[in-house]
Amino acid sequence: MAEKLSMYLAFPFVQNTLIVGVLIALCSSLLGVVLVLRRFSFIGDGLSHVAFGAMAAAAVIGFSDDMPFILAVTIICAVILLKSGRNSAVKGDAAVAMLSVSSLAVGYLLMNVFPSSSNISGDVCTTLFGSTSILTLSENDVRLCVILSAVTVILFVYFYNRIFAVTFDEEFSTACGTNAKLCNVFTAVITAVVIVLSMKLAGALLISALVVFPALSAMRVFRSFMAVTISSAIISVSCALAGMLVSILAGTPVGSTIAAADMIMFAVFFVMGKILGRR
Amino acid sequence: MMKKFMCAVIIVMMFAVTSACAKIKPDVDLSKMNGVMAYSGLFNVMCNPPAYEGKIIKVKGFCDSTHDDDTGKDYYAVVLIDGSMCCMIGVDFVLKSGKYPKVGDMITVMGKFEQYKDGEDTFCRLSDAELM
Repeated sequence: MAEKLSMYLAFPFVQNTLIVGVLIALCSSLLGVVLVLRRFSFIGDGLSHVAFGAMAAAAVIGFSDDMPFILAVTIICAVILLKSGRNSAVKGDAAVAMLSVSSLAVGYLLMNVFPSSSNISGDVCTTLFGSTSILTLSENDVRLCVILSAVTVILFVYFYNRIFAVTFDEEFSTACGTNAKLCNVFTAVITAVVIVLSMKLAGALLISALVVFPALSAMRVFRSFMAVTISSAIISVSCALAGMLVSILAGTPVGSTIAAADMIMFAVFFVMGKILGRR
Repeated sequence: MMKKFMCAVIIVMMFAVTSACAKIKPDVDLSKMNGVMAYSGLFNVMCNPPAYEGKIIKVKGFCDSTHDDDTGKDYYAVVLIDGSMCCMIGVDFVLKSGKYPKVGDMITVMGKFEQYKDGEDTFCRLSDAELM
């Protein structure tokens, strides 16, 4: 097995996969803690469907590089979703469901009415489940992923205290002088960026596994925000790495293998939490 | 007489060993990979042809063929399907010598990767290919 693995690791596209996969898993886990605590666990799913719809629209319009368009549309929808508060006509979860299903439907409709490739089912399958998309990254994709991941991690670390305050008590942090609205917009932008990147790794339908499972696993055992954040990052990176290596060796789809690894880790931490008497 | 015979046997054996050692080894061997990795490997080759120009590539897949009515030429390709059977990718090959396989046959092909022009378009193929 070691010989087989070293054979695969000699290929540049496999090295790129591991680097990008680890970075994406790290960013998703940091974001996941904030989203889970703010009861926006399903926003990852919703925004990934928006990104799918934007991808279909970009193909119809004929953009050579669709990433800026997808990022722009997803960021706008993320800001709209995360800003919808208690007084909005359509509440958070309903807004997510509405946008999510509309984007998926419109996206698939556009792909069928204006096909840009001869294998629509294959393209849809790859985008939704992330079977080989992380293994077929171009040099530009790798560069963009590395830059955006680095920016996300740096901004999260720099604004950690403000994110912490707004996550637990938005009104109190506003009263203390924190610009909570700006913080929410910043969270929305980072969410959109991480979701669009994560689609390459796990696919649109399995993205929630990357975002939600590491945070929930950490919360089974750890109590403090800092401990949950750090352990969530470690869990996410470990599961992504394990999932990618199993997928490479066994020939399984990458996205679902990583999601399965996250699920197993959650079960382990759930049992650990019960044994330690946490919850 | 016995000594001459033994010398002849040793010379023949040395020649056989030298020939085996001189066998061409592929620079990129996709034939030993599983479905997902072989598909991804060939996808990367076809998306970045200059990086693989002149390299010996070995691929295992099923044979497909197409006939161009304009030029009257037959084109043969080795096609791979990914692990989840939803996507296919292939590369043309031109045999150095010998008969081409039947469409649908599972084949292993090794050849030199190159880009070539056919009219105004540029294509990729494995030239001087051998069936393994």
